[in-house]
Amino acid sequence: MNSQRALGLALALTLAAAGCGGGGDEFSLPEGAGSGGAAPTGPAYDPATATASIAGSILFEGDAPEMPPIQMSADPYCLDAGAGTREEAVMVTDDAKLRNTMVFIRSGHDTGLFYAPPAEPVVLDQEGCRYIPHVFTMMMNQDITFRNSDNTLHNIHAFPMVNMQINVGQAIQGMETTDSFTIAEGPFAIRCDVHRWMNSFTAVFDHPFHTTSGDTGDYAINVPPGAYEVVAWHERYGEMTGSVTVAAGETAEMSFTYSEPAE
Amino acid sequence: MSSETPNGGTPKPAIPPPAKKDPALNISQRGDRLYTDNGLHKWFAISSLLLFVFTVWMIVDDYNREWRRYQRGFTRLSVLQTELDRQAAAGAIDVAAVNALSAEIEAARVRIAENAATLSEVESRLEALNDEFYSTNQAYLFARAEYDVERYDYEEAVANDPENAEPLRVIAENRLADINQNLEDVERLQIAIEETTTELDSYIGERDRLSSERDGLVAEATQLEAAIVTLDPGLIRTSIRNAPILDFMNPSETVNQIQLQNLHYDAPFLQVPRVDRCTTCHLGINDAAKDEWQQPFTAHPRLDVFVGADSPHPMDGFGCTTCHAGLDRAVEFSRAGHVPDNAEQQAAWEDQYGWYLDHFLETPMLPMDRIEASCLKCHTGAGDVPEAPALNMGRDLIRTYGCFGCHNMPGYEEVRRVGPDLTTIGGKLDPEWVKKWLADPRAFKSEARMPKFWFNSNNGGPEFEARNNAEITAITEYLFSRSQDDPLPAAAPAGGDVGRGQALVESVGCLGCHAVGPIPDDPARTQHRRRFGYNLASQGSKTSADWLYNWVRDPRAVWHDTNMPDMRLTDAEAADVAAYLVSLTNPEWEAEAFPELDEAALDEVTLEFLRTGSTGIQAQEALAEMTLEEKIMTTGEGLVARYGCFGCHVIEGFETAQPIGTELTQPGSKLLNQFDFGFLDIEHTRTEWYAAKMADPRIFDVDRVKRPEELLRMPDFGFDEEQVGAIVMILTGLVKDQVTPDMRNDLTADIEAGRGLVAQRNCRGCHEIEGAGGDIRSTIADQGLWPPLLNTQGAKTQPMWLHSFLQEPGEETLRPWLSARMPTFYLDQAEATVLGKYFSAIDNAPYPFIDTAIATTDESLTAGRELFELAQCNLCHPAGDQMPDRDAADLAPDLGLAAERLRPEWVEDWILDPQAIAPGTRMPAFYIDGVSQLPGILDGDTPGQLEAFRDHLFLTIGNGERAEDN
Repeated sequence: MNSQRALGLALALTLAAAGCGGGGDEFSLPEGAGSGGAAPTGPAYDPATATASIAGSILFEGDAPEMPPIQMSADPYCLDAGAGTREEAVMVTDDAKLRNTMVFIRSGHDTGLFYAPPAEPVVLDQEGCRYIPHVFTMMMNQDITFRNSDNTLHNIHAFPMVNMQINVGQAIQGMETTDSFTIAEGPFAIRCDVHRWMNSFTAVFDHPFHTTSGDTGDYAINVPPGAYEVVAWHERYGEMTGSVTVAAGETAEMSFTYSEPAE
Repeated sequence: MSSETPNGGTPKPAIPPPAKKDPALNISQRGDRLYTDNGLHKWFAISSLLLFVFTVWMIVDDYNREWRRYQRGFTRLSVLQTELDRQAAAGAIDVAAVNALSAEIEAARVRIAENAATLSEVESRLEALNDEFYSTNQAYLFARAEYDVERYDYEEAVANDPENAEPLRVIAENRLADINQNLEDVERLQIAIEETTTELDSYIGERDRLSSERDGLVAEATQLEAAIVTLDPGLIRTSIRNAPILDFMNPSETVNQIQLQNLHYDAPFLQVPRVDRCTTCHLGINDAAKDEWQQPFTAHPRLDVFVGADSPHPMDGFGCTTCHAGLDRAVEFSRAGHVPDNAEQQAAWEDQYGWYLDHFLETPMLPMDRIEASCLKCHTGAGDVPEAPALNMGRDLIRTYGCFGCHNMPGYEEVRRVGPDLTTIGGKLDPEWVKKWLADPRAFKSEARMPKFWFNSNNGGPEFEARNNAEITAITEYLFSRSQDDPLPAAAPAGGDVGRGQALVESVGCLGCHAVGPIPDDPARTQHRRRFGYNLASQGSKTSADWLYNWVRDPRAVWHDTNMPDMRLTDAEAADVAAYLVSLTNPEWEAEAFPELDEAALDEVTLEFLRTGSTGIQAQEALAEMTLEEKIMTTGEGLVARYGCFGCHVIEGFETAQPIGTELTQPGSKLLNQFDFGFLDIEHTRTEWYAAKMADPRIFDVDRVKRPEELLRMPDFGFDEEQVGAIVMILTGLVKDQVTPDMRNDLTADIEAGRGLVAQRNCRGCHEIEGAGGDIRSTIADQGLWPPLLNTQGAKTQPMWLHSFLQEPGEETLRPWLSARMPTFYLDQAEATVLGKYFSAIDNAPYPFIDTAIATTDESLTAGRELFELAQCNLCHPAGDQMPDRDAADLAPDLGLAAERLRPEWVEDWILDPQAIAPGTRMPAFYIDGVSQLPGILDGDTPGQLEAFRDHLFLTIGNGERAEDN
């Protein structure tokens, strides 16, 4: 009896010591284990909160370089349709403002929000063997419609670094093709491989705070009140940045001045 | 010891303590024994208690292994994760839908209750029918069995006892009639049951359907709930299942192992099958969902390549230690052979796991930055190993620097010596340059591959200076004295122009293999293939315009075995290139002079060679009788043998000399005790030794006392840290472990041979092949001038065309307007075949016979012509003598050659989606997701249009063969 009781005690003790040894409590699940791994999409951005505004001009100092005429002899159609076209890299208005400059917010906006892409597509037209507009901005997942208004073969070859390259041929006048870029990325070129002189520049954003200086050299962006880093980008003269703080209902003035760099 | 009290409760006067300690005084009480019963009982009690405690301790200690902690942790986390998933699933349930269904079910239930009486009647009817069916069916089945017996009896009687057969036949036939009657009854009942079931269904069917629909909506959450119970059946159940002794039955905590019968762990004198127990703790290794879990539960990276069941390296076939090394059957952290990646990790491990390096383990795990070494076990071929950049770099380095010249290494037996042929050194170089070069090759060219033999860490002191210079002079003079100076084939014509030469070097394709000066980094692609040929900077300080002229004009005429191809330059172009190369000089280098020979130092070295095989006095006497010339020749020859110069260079008299270095057939399995770590303070592991050796091959001479001729001889290659790591990767990867043939990569011999030749000729310097290469593109701004991508070459070109193009690329140029050109590599039939087979094999394209006859219709040909005009192919593509008016960089390949060059089916694939075949190509796509952008022709039918394109290209433009109509 005694020995049985001792064995029973021993077993019980061992069970208690080993079985209840526990362990493994120091491990924990990775952050965000419960969200199923999907990227968190914040609350939707409400455009009505953009009660402030950043506006200004892209100024050009000094004499504007003269743009050379484009040699279009490679395609008889262009020779005719695009007669007199000059290169569009540097275009200065009569009041010394630089056209075709992108202006956008780099930081300061609420990155936790979800910014829906606009429903209406950006249109890139090909007319007279040049791209219209020459510089434009767009949002990721926003549709972009390429239109060929010329009666000759064009191809639209976009050269992004991050997004997939697009290279579509349009042989028929009036043809439209729609595509989109799915990742935000900095400025890149769109070219036509058939007509080498044709180029256009765009950038893809994950927010709606971007525009160009267009034909006038002025710009305006509506933003929620806050402090922002504003960037201007020009295809030849590159990037300039500035900081601005703007309160509700106010317009902050933010102008950039470019000039032809000395040789 | 206490004493007895014979007088009951009467207290006894205390015995004085000293008396107790004297055994003589107590002898009467103990009798003739040296112990008392009571005392013994006490000792017994104490020792049995101790035995009990230690037994429990032992069992507990034996039981509470490290791995159990991980398994408990993993179970706990799995439960937590499943609970989170369950909550997510529960949250995703469409509550409204479930509620709606519940309401409908309730309504159905009410309707059922209203018809309870009828329902119960139907149910009991169905039950009765089922009962009847059972008994009837039984009777039928028994009757069939009886019939089988009776038929057998009858047939047996027919064979053995024909007279008595007839009654048996009657019995069997009667039975058959019964069976048919039975079957009819059964079928009648089946129909009745079916009808009644349908009737029942009309009452309760709706409720059941709604219920299962509702179950479907919550199924995921319910299943996850059940999974949690399975994972964690409660503390009591888990404790009993896993209790010591009881855990032999069905424990939830268990040592997992992967048995690899065909792979062996190499113990001394013994090969035992590998049993990888790593998954005992690495529990989430094969579960992609656990990629962010903490160690040891983290999923293996890239499950599509490693570990995953569908990957090329499934866990069940390859195990873990095959690649990671370590002790396969150990389940404790340090004993398993874990090795930290860096000092930081080491400190963390020591803190967390009490980590130590097990010095008795010959194969500790490879640190993560050395893991690629294991690929070599199976990937033994010549080609690049995917996903193993350092390993591939190591192979390239070994091939480039020619380690196999001095060390026997597997796989390099047939490879040519890497250095130039020195039997004609006199025609190319002058002795002064060679001496300065030998003293410090990288002073002349920072990327020189010639290693440095003198002025290194063990012979760089001032006391070695005169001796080093004497050795260098002796070797140089010796080599020039043996040179057979054939006159150069031609003299350089006058009028070579430096500017034109530079333009040629930068445009014809030289920069695919050569660079001029430092190579700028390019984030877009690697540049190491541009080090395949010698850097051309300072070429003018090295050799003459005449030599360079002959060399670039026809390299093989100067050195038959060279890798340099013929660029097919005209004589005038060759003169321009020579003029340019000669203009690249290094004035600083030229200004320096090599020191005069110190004869005393030379004598010292000469004496070392004379002493072999003779006494010191004899050697002294012999030396005294030698002229300076003789001393130099003796010493030069001796030094060539001592340093093994012939390992890399052809030197007359040493053509068949044996390599001087340590054999390197299995350096990754060399036993640790065979390494001489000298006095160096480094971790005593194989990788550390090799890394130290490669960084400074003479390092182990530090603090040693040696005679000059005993010093380590391996020269310094000036490898940087990355290169050292890459070579160490190869050295540690060449191991004795055997793998089974089915584990080897299943590349065909065709692909292996092709990759070997591609590497040997540096095809990737210009072309992208299998997704890698094209280094030269970094030097060409204009994409239109880039050499073609060869990623789908096998599917693209016709085998016969490719074969002849490879052999005679100058015969027919695709883009004659370009100055860049495919050089002539003098490939023989066998080599051209190797490449043809290789390209076809990687694309699974037929080789060598293909059918290029095109079956077509006149309608298709007309449509093809229209398509060509609509798509305006001729805006960029020349077709025969029709040349678009464009810059050279904007022209596309000549379509006139397509019919004899391209595979017809490839043309269709290409036009359908050019970006898929050549990402970034300038060829526009006319089909978006397969939809034609050229409507109006053939009703926009994509396959028809693609055929029409093909037909026009091959038949109308190319005048190819039209298949006869069937």
